[in-house]
Amino acid sequence: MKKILLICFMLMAALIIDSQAQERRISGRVVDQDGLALPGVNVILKGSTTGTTSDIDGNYILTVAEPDGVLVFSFIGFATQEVEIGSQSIINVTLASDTKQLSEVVVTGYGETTKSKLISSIAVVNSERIENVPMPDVSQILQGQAPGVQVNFGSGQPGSQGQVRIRGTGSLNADGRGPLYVIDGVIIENGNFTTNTETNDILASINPNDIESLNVLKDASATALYGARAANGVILINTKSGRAGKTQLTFKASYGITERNDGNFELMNSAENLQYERELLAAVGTTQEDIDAIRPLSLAEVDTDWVDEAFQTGSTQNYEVSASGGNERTTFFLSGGYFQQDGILIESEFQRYSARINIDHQATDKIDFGLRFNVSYTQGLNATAGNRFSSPLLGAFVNSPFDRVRDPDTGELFVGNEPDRITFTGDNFVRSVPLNPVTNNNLRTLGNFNIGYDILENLRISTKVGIDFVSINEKDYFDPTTPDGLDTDGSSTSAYNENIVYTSQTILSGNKSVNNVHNFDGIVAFEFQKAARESFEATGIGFASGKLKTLDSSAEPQNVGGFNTEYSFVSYLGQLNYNYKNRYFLTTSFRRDGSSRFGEENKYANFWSVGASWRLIEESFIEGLNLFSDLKLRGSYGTSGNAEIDNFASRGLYGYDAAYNGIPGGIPSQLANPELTWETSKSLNIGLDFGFLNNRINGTIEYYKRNSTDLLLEVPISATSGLTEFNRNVGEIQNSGFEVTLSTQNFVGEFNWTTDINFTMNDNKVIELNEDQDIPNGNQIIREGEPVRSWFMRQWAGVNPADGTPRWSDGEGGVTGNLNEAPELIVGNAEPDWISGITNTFSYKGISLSAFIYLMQGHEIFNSSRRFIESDGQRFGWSHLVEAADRWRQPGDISERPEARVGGNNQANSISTRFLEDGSFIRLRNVTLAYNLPSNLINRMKLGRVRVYATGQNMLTITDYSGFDPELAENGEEFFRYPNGRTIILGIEVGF
Amino acid sequence: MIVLAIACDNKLDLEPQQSLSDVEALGDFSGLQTALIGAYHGLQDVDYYGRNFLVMPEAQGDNILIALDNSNRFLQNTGYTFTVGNADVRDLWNDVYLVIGAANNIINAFETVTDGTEEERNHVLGQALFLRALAHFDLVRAFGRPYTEDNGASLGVPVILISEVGSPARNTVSEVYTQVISDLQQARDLMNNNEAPFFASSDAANALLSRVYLYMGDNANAITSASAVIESGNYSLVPNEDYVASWQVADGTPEEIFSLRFQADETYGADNLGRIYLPEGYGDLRPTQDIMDLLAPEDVRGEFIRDFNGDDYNFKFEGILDVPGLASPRILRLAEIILNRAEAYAKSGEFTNAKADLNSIRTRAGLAAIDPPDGEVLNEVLLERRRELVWEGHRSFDIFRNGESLQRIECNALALDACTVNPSDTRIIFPIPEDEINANINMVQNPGYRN
Repeated sequence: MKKILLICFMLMAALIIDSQAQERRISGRVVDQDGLALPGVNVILKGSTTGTTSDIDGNYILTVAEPDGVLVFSFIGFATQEVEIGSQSIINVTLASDTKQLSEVVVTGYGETTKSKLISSIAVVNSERIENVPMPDVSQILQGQAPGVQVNFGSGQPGSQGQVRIRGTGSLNADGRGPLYVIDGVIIENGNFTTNTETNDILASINPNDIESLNVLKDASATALYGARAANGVILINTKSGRAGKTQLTFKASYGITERNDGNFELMNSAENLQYERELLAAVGTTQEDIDAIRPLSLAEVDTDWVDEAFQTGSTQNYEVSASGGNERTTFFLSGGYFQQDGILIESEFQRYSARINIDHQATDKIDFGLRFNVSYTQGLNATAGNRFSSPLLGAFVNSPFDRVRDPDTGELFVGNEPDRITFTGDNFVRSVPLNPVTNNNLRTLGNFNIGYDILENLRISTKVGIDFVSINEKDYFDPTTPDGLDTDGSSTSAYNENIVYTSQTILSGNKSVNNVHNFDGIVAFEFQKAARESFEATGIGFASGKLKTLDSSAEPQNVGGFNTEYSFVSYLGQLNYNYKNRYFLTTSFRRDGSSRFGEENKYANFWSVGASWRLIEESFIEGLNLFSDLKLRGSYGTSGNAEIDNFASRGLYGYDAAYNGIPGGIPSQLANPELTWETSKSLNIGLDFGFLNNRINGTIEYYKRNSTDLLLEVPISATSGLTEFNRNVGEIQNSGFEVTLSTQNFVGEFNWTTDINFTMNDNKVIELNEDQDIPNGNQIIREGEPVRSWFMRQWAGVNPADGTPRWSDGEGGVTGNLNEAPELIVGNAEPDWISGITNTFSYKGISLSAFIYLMQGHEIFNSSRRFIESDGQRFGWSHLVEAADRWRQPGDISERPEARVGGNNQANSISTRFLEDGSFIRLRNVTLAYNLPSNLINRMKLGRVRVYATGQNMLTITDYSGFDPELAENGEEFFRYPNGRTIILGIEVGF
Repeated sequence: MIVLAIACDNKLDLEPQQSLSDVEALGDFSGLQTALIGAYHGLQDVDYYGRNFLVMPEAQGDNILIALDNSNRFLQNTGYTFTVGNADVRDLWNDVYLVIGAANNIINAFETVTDGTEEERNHVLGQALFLRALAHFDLVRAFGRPYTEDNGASLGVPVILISEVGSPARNTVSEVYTQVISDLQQARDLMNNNEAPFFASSDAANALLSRVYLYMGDNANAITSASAVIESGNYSLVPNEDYVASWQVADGTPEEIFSLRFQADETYGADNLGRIYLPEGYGDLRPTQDIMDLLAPEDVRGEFIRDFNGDDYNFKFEGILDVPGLASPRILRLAEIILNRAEAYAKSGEFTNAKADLNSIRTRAGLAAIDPPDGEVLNEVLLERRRELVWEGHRSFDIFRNGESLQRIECNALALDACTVNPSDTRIIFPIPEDEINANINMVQNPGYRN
């Protein structure tokens, strides 16, 4: 609005000047690099107030007084261009797009600001980095793209849920460690809302190509406005708006394939396995006769590679049409897309159909409307979790190579429970998995409607109403002929989940400037949000045929379940910004949140922040140095909260899924804690933004310290209470660290080379725990003074060369061969020392090449799967790692592995640092080669723009890790997990 | 905006819809009845009477061995190599205390709940006391040294009468037994026998008392309690010709005093009790030559052992209601009570009575009655107990409470160095679970296990 006023003012000024001076008419057309008209470009005579804007076809007419002067063409998103008028009367201009310029406007959530005014710590990831990444989920795209943001994926299942952590682990409670997501100004649900599917992220319902920018709010000055839910950061997702002018149609298509990445992982083949297992038997004194009976040499005639059976070549395809256009009053962006991905594991797939409509309309000078509407439908076919016997993930690791997939005589697939099979799981996943589909179909309708009214020139009120509706339909089927379905003659489970969130938001915003010296702006807002979730589930058993899968065809109902739950938030918030001559900036914000989740005593909580910045570049003593092109120092301090706990976490509860003898029963399910309160984080941020050589080198260095207190956690308690966990506020964690971003334009000209580096170093430490008591956390421990993700296990002390038995540290400098005498010790942690993303982009004429390298260094990961396939004989009849054969054989042998024998060697494969590995890796995450067809060729084809590209994902990985893939879930533990693959994509984009 | 804000304020008061607060759940007598059902449900857990607690004493005994090709279940039991992190041991501990919690909440709520008839109230209270006693007894025999070793002087488990967050220390074995007996005596006097065998009864309290006294070496009381059940006339041994088939009967047999009912829809699938033994299950646990040699050809109990593809398997828990391996575990049945009394008689020198009880079990099995000399009677009773209660979760308890050694004749590599285990061995009882040690500052570990 301010801009329009400014333009009006300039036009008036131009008219006034016009009447006084000698007239000279200059006209021309402004287009972008692709030759498309650019409407709304500001055309100003430099050093004057004379100016105009281009019309819908990009044409402008300007009358100037002076014969010699310079015209300045500027437009958001494009590099400003200056042209000497000289004797020309027609000046046509092609503006180059400038993404650096685009980031000048920074969306802050309830408002927006410019980069130069920004006080808080906000990382921006623009659409150019988001587009065409061959992954379904927005959070996958964030990986390595923004400093301070760590993204882990525990599963390679397409559509699975990622773990996004902003500035370290600030909460202990699993659901509460991630950021808050806001799409187009409305807080939305994220995470996994399924009841039977192992992993599924409703964020995957958003088409990443619809996104204009992802803004990550990191410090309190940015997050305090989101109050009780922002302690672990906020991710603002802003979708694309239309641009006035001729309608731009874009068509995109891509196709790619994904291959399994074996990494350093290799299992024994049948002959190796046979020899090894015969030796295992001999090691315990089995007679030759018995060895020949239990593991006859004929077994080696079969050599099934179960890893090959479990994995397939995956594929990815994406098709999309979008249109952007409009006029001065109305702009629109429309898109429709289809994305499909076959995973690398058999029978795993994800499909998304999405449609979006974004409309902005200026109804009168004072009233405007906006609509953001997205509807999408996703279909997932899910690999069964690695802890199920029918899972190809487990089977790939453990099925014996002596067992066949098919009967060689009939060609029929084995069921897997034939008594003569060696594999203990009793299942042949090659047969079972296609017969037992696990599916989830999600419908998401996400939209908001906004109406704004300019009460005064500098005072505006706007109201937004948002609805986020997600329905999830899951089916889980056991075919009557598969081992999982044998007991019941087949079973079918249908589950339906519905989640709806209503939001209403009213914002009053204004600004006031006193002589352009004292500048104020601010907002006051009210927000109400209510979420309701409803679920039901039914199982039927007894199916005449595997072709019948619906509940109607089941012989008898088996199980019916369902639940309803809800929560609500009522919030008041405000922010006040002040600057003095655009040089000194101050900001303060406040939010008061009330939530149904907390008890009567703690229903409301207040959050606040203060921040300041100093644009040193405006000071003459800096300008005089002629060194910097930008320099700004900023700092902030404030609080935000975390309310991510179960909706009724403070109550003592009885659960009623406890029937006996056909009668419903109730059993304690939760112990009461009436003192339960909010988790609060207090964070300090200091940042320095700098630019040299006319910003050819620019970057930011930031230091932060975030203390999270009153941490919410279900902590282990003595089981003598009846239950083993209890919701408590347990203590305090500190995350502190440095973040650096650096962008350099190494070559500018026909050949362009730019480098973008981001670097994050986070130090995580538990500051305080209740009664100093450690909290066990699987194979990790939460202990004062140590990182949250500290590994806590026995320290492996190698093999005793004398007898081949295992040894562990006794904690007092010695070793012990008795596992029960070996104490658990802190032996490392799963938090990386540092993370970095490095992108180099080269371009020459229409060709561009970009390479994105992602690094994670200095953390340990626990390969629990290896305990089962390098078990020293404890897992007799399973598959074994090739390396397992290299072991102690006779007194005096120095070996990493103990003597192997049936039944194992003194629990040598129990949890210890023997299976703890360096998790560091360097990965060529993405490399893209693109070519923009030259315009003369395109014009002949009557097209606007054609871009073809090839992208490789995870092309190269450097790591010492022994498993498939070093990228693990944040807990750093490997357990029969769906690994990430290596993808190559070819794509084309055509603009009309 | 202010109007909107006020309208919204009461929208912060929401209530859960599938759980009840504990105050509401236990607020009236019907709530207590529902909570009692929940306590029985707790017994059904796979870690407790659903499977593991019935399998572990067998894996630690001489009636089964684990096949070399196996699914890695119960290996620490068979090799006596328990680690403090053993998940089965931990889950047993956790689930038994959940049953105690469920029972305690009912028992303690009787102070405030006033509705219900006196008989109804007594029967519910009695059952809660019975379940609390059964749970404490199971814990003390699994985690504490045998009572007979030192008259219960060593550490047992914490006796919990009010379940709340805290760090209770261990009571002595003797203190636990005292509480168990007190609860069972009260329970016996409060309960009726109307809902036997799938719910606890006055008879079940007497039956369990006979076992508890036997474990304590209190033979006189063991005889009294056993006789109260045997002479009640409420139960009879299933005849010889029906005996083997009776294990596939789902709705109760005249022999059952207290059984934990499993209905078809309560199947654990592969984790059903029988499927750890059956070839079409894990088939990991196989009958030993030791037990096969003890079962004479005419002994019907030998029919539980059947050949499948050249190997012998245990089919005692073949399945009920057409669900493979499903079983309603017979926690207390008449044959055991008769054998409890026979053992107590033999230990008290009442050999004639002992032989009468012994022979009633022998003849039912199809064996001839015997008349051993006095010095052999106890041995014969214990041998008969081994045959009769085979795979029912008694074996290792029975060996060690009598101060005997485990002697495995057929003993494979998975038994490691546990082919012979002396009763003084620290490994005959479980370690206190590591998670409990970590969460409870007053918890003391058993000797032989790292704290």
